[in-house]
Formats: sequence, structure tokens, C-alpha cells
Amino acid sequence: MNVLDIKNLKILFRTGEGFVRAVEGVDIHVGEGERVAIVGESGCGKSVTSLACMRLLQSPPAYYTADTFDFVSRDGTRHNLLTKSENEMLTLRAREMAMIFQDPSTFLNPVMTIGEQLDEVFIYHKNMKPKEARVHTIEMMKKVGIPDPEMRANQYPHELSGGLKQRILIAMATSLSPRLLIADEPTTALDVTIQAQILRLIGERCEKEKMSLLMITHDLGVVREMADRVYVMYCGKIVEEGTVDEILSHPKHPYTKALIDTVPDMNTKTERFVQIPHNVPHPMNKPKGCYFSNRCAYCTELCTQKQPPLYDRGDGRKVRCYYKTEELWEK
Amino acid sequence: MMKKLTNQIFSAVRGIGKFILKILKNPKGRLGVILVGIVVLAAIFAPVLTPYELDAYDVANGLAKPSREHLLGTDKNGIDILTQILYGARISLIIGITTGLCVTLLGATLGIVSAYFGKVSAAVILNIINVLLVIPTTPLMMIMSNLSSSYLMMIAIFTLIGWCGTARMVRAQVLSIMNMNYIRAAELAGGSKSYIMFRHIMPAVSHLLIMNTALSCAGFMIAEAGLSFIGLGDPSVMSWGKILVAAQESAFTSGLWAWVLAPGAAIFITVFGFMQIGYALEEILNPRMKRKKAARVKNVSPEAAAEAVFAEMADISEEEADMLKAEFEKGSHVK
Amino acid sequence: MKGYYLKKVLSSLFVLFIIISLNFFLPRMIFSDPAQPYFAGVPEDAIALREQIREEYGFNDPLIVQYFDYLGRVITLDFGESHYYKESVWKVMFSRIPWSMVLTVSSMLFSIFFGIIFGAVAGKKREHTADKVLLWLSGITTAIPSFWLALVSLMLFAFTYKIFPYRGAMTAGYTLTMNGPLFLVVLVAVMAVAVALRFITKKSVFIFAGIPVSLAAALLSSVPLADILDVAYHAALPVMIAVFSGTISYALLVRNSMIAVTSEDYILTARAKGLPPRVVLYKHTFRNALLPLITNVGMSMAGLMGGSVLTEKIFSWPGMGQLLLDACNNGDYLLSQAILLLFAVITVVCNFITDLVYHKFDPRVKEV
Repeated sequence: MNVLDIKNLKILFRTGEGFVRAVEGVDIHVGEGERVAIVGESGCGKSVTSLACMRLLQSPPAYYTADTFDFVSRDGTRHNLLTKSENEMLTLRAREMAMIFQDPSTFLNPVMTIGEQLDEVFIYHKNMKPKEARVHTIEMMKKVGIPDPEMRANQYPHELSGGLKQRILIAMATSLSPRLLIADEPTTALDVTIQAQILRLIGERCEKEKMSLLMITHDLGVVREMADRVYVMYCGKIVEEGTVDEILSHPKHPYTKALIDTVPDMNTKTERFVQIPHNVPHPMNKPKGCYFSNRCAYCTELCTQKQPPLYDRGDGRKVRCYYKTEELWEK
Repeated sequence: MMKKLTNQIFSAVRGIGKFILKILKNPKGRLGVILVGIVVLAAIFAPVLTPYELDAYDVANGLAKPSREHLLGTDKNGIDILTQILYGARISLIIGITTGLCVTLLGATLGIVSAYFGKVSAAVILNIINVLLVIPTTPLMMIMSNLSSSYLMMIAIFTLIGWCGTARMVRAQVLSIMNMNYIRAAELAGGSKSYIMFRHIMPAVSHLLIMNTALSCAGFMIAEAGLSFIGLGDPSVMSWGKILVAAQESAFTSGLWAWVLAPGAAIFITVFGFMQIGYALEEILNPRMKRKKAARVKNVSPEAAAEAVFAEMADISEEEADMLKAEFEKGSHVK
Repeated sequence: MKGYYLKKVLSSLFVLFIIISLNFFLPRMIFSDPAQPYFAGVPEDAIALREQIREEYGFNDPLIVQYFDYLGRVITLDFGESHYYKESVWKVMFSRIPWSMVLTVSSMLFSIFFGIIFGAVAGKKREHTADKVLLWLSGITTAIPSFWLALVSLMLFAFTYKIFPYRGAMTAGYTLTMNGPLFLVVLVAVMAVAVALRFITKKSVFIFAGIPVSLAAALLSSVPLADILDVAYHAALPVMIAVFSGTISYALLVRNSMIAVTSEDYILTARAKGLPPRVVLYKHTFRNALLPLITNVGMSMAGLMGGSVLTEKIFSWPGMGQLLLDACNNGDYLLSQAILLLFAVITVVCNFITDLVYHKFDPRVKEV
């Protein structure tokens, strides 16, 4: 049974220059207890997708539509996220679906103590008195490995290190053991040494609370560590889908292959870093055919004419490319 | 040599011309230029525009209501109000523009110096700014204007007291520019301090300064009107503030509305004009400021428009794609 | 933290020292003979008498001695005697301070109150009518001198339509009867209750509410109601003018910071927590959006003091601004020195309080 079921999600932003096509028909599903990652460069629409799942995009300027946009809560009820009112969403957020954000230093309110910010979750969702909430807060802080939680609870965010702040955000998101945890690049803003700890903590929390995980990242190392299944996104479209081992060892889309090639290998000495030529096209100015065509090493005339569909290649592999792997690597 | 110089002058003139054209193309700038232009022309041609003199006492005709001879009426001494306003524009413009320029010049110099030339100068300048920010400006001006009542004195006092806001702004801007990588690169490349200052920092703060000049001109015109209203202006020249003092004495009881409204309108038009020019400059020189309004197709709600864009996003089916692929491989797509 | 405040106090003292020095030297620059005001009533030819006065007040001493003498007198709060009013400077100032307070404090409180409401409504929904009206009004009012607005409204409401009085703080012939000791007793008592409540409930709301409530209670108990109403009637027009422009500038500030805070990341966190919109608005957005207002109110105290000169002149209000204007015109420099110093002290104290209050709301230390 799927926790999150998205079919053909499209998101637009209305700006001064016209509509920006942020997400163009994306199918994503997250199973019970499954850990799914969405990978892509910045600006490919992955964060927008995650915010849309929480219904946190302001509309206007954002407009969205989908064939299916369902979330199944723990009691088995199917919620259509498209038609939910803001009030109904309040009962889903934090209780059933929660989110961890990118930069812990800007995502905590600077003028409230850590404790106050964590208390709120219990106060507004469990109707607790502040004192009672604080007991739970302290307990929660212990669970995410914050030393001396009583003292930390009375401190302000600027008094904590980045790693601790991210732990606070994790505590905040997982305190009501939601069914789905969305993590939007949770380690990008942290030191490398802290990253591993935070990833491990997220993994532990998911296992203990039986949460499904939707991880948004651009880091393939994080993907290998954290995910069971991977979606590769490019310019608002899914370009490849499959299990983590399949994708990382046998990429079928030129973009995925290029992404993997850009990761420097520690064991072999390379002359140069591999890079993907050009930049991600501006969302107002995407290529006519396949969106990756202008950067693709295997691009043909066909690719520049018409956007390929997402081919189903069996075994849960889907690839948005006209060519099968053998054909491609031949060229 | 001579030719090079003339070429440079020509290109400078062309640059300024283009800049003025840009201001005129901006709707705010156009409005501002028109308003300020009217006031400037009125000030210059005051003697031509009015048949009366400022010292044409005609007490018998005093406190006259607006009429064909006196469009805005006359004051207690029978002097035409319109004439007073036209001549008053001169002092208002002179004080506003010179003070605006002086304040910007002094503020910019001290701001850059405090940000760029060592800790000692920074400490001295920042302390002076701290003191000036605490001293209540209007009372200090009132006390200082006892020194001399000439309007040159007023400009000097305004400049001495008013530069600190500009200096703080420029200092902040310079500090943020100095953190930019291109300044570091210039330093590493061995550029001298003064070279970097004139070549890199000055151009980067110049747009701030141009804008600041226009806005402070507006501010000081209001301040000048206020000071001459409380009787601290130059007694030998006519100013809008002074007309209003006389109006409070006599116009209220005799219901001469034009006497009170017209000087205020004059101040408003001039100040508003300068402010519009300032905002226009801000938009022209700092394109990030410009916020375009969301384009709206006529008679179509944004939801419907979004719906149309959603429809364009549909993928083709796998079969269609396969056919297309085969077509391309045969080369038959070429028509 | 202590070091920060120590630094602040030291720099404030330094600023005051500079102002005192300025106070000493300005009259000596302005007047060819600084002893001139002391000669009032002394005939021109009574040279011996004049010389005696000179000697008595120390004008024959070297400048440096005079300077230290002046410093000493300022430190002991001895400002001398106003030669125009023939009274001690303290007495003259104290008869005027309450009147200035009536105008500035009430217009400040009203402006903040209306400014927050207007700004919040405009900032909550952009492109809303309130937002457009606010932007339009602020564009217009910054170009209109507020004293001209005061003139026009005076002519309209006091002369053309005789709704409000045109001059003074009370109807001619009346004087305010005020029970000074009772005022102080009530003020201190109510404040003490507020402080006690603050410590019992640990809610700082009581302190902030305590200030206006205790002031109101003290005034109501020590001044006859008829007098209060008379003053209120006279103050209505000047206060309304000040509140009009004050409201717009505060509202614009609140609106801009509301808009800035709404797009902050932590607001997203608050929403992702599933907090109801009103909680997000009041507990998260508002609390952060009002921070710039605190700084601005503190800084604008200095401007209010100076700006009051124009209003007080137009409405013939017997306040400090009017007093300073008269002192300048009469060359009564002992009085104008004291007033300038008082204004500066008020500004410094306000800045200091602003810092404390700001710190209460924003734990991150910020140099204002």
C-alpha cells in the first residue's frame, strides 16, 4: 500500500515574465516504510514537489494540478491533497506528514527559544498545557541525541551549532511520529563530518517510528546511503526511476550517467573532474525537444524535436530516453 | 592629443544624453522632470511671468481676494501672492539643490573614507555620526542659525548636520562591496587603494549617490520651508515658508484660502517632482528594484491561463514515440 | 552581555560630554559678548556695574576656566537663571515639560497603535486595497510638509468651521489644577502593581500595559475631569495631525517588515508544523515583524522633540519647542542650552531603553 501516490503532478508559478513551469507531470509513489530519493540539480523542481506534498506553496503565485495526489494516513484514510482545505491540512501536517528543511540556521525562528518552538507541536496537536508539552519536548530532544536538553531548551537558535539545529528540526518533524517524513536536502548546509551523523539519525528515526522517507537531494552519496528507490529529476520531469542499486550501477539515462560520472572517485586518480557541459536551462527557456538535449553527449536530431515519453523498461525501471542503453553507449 | 580630449568630451556628453533619455522614458522620471522643470522655469523667469515687484507696497489693496489682477490675491501690504511664490521658488531650489549636492558629496567622502581608510578614521567618523544622531537636529539648527541669518549659512548648517545619514548608507554599501570577490581579486592583483577606490568602489556606489542627491534635495526643501516658517530664514529673500507665516497671521481670519494652499502646493509639487526623479533613478540604476506586475491576459483568469499551460505539458505515448523514432531513423521526416 | 551595556553607557556619556561642550562654545561663537544677557536692565553707561557682573559670573576668567566651571555646574545640574523669565531655568522648563509630554506621548501612542493595525492589514494581503491606499498615502505625505497640513487643518477646523480651538492648551483664563503628590503616588502605586503582576505571572505584557495604565490612572485621579477634557479638546487637532503622518510612516514600516518576514524560512517551518494560520501570524510573523518598529520608535523620539517646534508654534502650544524658539529669539542662551541638553539626554535615554527592549524581543545582540 502506498503512503504517497502522485500521478501527473504539474506546478506552475505566475511571475512578471509569464508562467514558469516548475514541475511538468511527475509520477511519484512512496510505499509503506519505503525510503525514496529524488535526485537532481538545483532548479529541477524537486524542492517544489516536496513543498507541494505538504501543500506549503502559496497559491497564487503557485498553481497546481494532478491526476492523483493522494496521501494515506495511518488509519488508512485516503486524503486527496489537491482538494484539502487549509484547515484540513493542519491536521495532516506534523501528525501524518512532516518535513525537514535544508538550512537549519534559517528555518528556526530566531526570537523564540528552542523549547518554545518544539512545545508548539505538542500544544497545538495534542492540546497539551505548556508545562506538559515541555516534558515531551525534553524527551524528544533526548531521542535525537541532544546533550543537556533542559539547558538547550531555554537557548535561542543562534546559540546552537548547525548540527544541533538540524537535530532540533528532526525532533520537531518526528515528534508526532508522522507516517511520511520529507527531507529536503537535510545535509547540504552542514559540515561533511556532521552530515553522516544527521543521515544516520534520520535513518534511525524512520526505522523506530516506522516512517516512510522522501529524501530530496543532489548528492548521490546520500542517495546510496539512504534510499531504496530513486527518482532522477531534470527540468521538472522525471527522467529515470529505479532501485538504488540499479540506477547507480546501471544508469540508463544519459543525465543519470553524467551525474554519476561527475562524482570524483577516491580510488582512482583522475586528470580532470568530469562535468556536464552548460547549465540547467532557465525554466522559461527550456529546449524544444528533450530537455537534456542541449547538454547530452548522445543527442540526435530526434531528441531536439520532440520530448521523449517515460518508457517503462520493466522491473520498475522507467527512463525518459528514446534510446535503450545498448543503442546509446554504441554512439 | 586635442582630438582625444574632444572625443572624450563627446562620448561623455553622449553618455549623459542617453542617461537623460532613460530618465524621460521612465514614467516616474518623466513626471518628475516635468514637475521640477515647471518650477525651475518659474523660478528663472519670475520677473517675466509677473508684472509685480516684491517690494510693490500697495496697502490700500491689501488682503485682496484672488482676482484677475492678482490671481492668488495679495498680502497685508498688498503684494501679489503669486509673485511671492514665483520668487520663493528661487530660494527653495537653490537651498534644496545645493544642500542636496553638498550633503551627498560630504557624506559620500566621509562614508568611503570611514569604510576604506583604516580603523582610526573609521572610529573618528563613526563617533561624530553617533553624536550627530543624538543631537536633536531642529533645535541645534535653531540655535546655530543665530550665527547668521544668510541663506548660505542655512546651507552650511544643513550640510554640517545632515551628512551623517548619507555617510552611514555609503559606508554600509562600501563595506558590502569590499566583501565582494572582485575587489579581493583587484587587491590580489596589486591594485593600489586609491586605484581600487576610484576604479571599482566609486562606480559601484555612484548610483546610490545620484539617487540620494535627488531624494535629499526633496528632504532639505521641506526642512528649509520649516525653518523659514519658524522665522529662521534669510530675512532679505522671499521663501515659501515665510509666505505661510504671513498667511497664518492674516489669511485665516479673512478666509483667503489661496494664500495658504498655494505655497503648500508649490512645496508639494517641487518635492514630489524630486522624489519621483529619485525613484526613477533608483529603478534605472538598480534594475533589481523593478518589479514587473504579473502579466495578465485580458478577460482570462489566472486559473484558466494556468489550465491552458498545464494542457501543453502532456507527454506523447510510447507508441507514438516509437513511430517517431522509426521515422527519424528512416530519415523520412525531412520534407 | 554586561560588557555590551557598559560600552553603550560609556559611549552615551561621551556623546553627552560632546553636547555639553558644544553647548558651552556655541553661545560664545554666536554672541560677540556672552555676558550680554546678564546685563538685562543694566544701563549701557553703567560700566562699573557691568564689570562687576562680568566678574561675578566669571566672564573675565580664561576660557578654559570658564569651561570647567560650566562642566562643574552641569554635573551638579545647576543651569542658572533664565534672564528673560527671571526664574531658574529648571522652573521654567518644568512648567513646560508636561505640556510637551501631552502632545508627544499621546501622538506617539496613537501613531504606534494605528500604525501597527494599518501596517498589519496592508502587509497581510498584498495587492489588497489597504496596501494600495497605504503606498499611495505614503508617497503623498512624504512630499507634504506636515506643518502645512497643520496650517490647513487649523484654518479649516478652527476658523472656517469653528469645531476646534485655534490656540493654546487650555481655554483662555483657565489654569490646570493638578495634585502633584497624588499624581506621583498613584503613578508609583499602579506601576508597582504592574511590576508585581509581572513577577507573579512572568508575563512582560504587564510592564508594557502598566506604563499607559498607570499614567492614565494618575492623571485621572490628580487632575479634575473638566481640566482633562479641556486639554484633550485643545490637543485634539495637533495630535490628529501628528498621528496622521506618524501612522502612515509606522504602517509602512510594519507592512514592509511583515512582507519580508512572511517569506522567511522559519515561517515555512511554522506552517509545516501544522500551526493554525493565526498562530503563525501572531506568534511567528508578527513577533519578528515588529522588531524594526522598536528601533524606529526609539530613534524617532529625537525627531519628535525637534519636530514639535513647528506644531507648537502653529497651535501656540506652551511646550518645550515653543520655549526653545522664544529662548533663541530672546538670546536667552542659558535656557536654550539647558533645553538642548535635556533633548539630548532624552534621546540618549530613549536609545538606551530601546536597546533594552529590543534585546528583550530579539536575543541576538544587534548594534543599533
